[in-house]
Amino acid sequence: MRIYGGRGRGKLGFINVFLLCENPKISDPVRFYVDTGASRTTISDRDAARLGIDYAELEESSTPSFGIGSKRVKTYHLRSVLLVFRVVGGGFYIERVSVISVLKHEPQTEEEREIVDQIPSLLGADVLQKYNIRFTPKRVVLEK
Amino acid sequence: MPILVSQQKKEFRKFENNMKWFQDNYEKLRELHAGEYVAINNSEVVMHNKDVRTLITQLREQYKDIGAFVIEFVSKEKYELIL
Repeated sequence: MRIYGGRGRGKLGFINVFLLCENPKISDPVRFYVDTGASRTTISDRDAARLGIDYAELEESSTPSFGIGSKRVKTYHLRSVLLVFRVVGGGFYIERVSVISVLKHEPQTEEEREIVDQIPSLLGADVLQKYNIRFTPKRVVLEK
Repeated sequence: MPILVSQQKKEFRKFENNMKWFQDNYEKLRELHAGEYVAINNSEVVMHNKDVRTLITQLREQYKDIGAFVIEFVSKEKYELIL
């Protein structure tokens, strides 16, 4: 089974995924950047806004999260998520993920806000560990 | 039961097409919208704003469903993401 993604900003690999969740109800596509350095698959602040996620409906994580910028980030749990991938040759493949993190940065300045809003959603090691990953000049490929 | 129903498949395909259009037309978008967020649907910029939250609010006011819309930042200069 093979899944193709593309190469985007800074040649990072990305994969378009259809995200399904029952509570809260989400049924929308999301672009995830492939990031083996992220422990968990995460939805960025910007995608959370685009998906209409209300943080008040989610449980806040008690485990602190840190990024490259070394600042602590509030995270919320989105539970029982289905990630639907388009498969090469036709059809779809579902990854069932028990918990996805939804980021909620708390920028202190307008400049910080601008940077936060450019952070993408990440497909993390929780999902990627199930695949062999390779890069070609134009693609990222997940296989299993 | 199918993984995705027909409406979801359509939305997914539209999103993929919108994302491809964004990437293919990035240099043109940079000439017109550098430093702004753009909302793309059906291979065109339907709205743009320097503030992504304002843009999303305005999109929700104008459109019933923005699930297939691509909302991306158009950078003035090339930069690297270290995630």
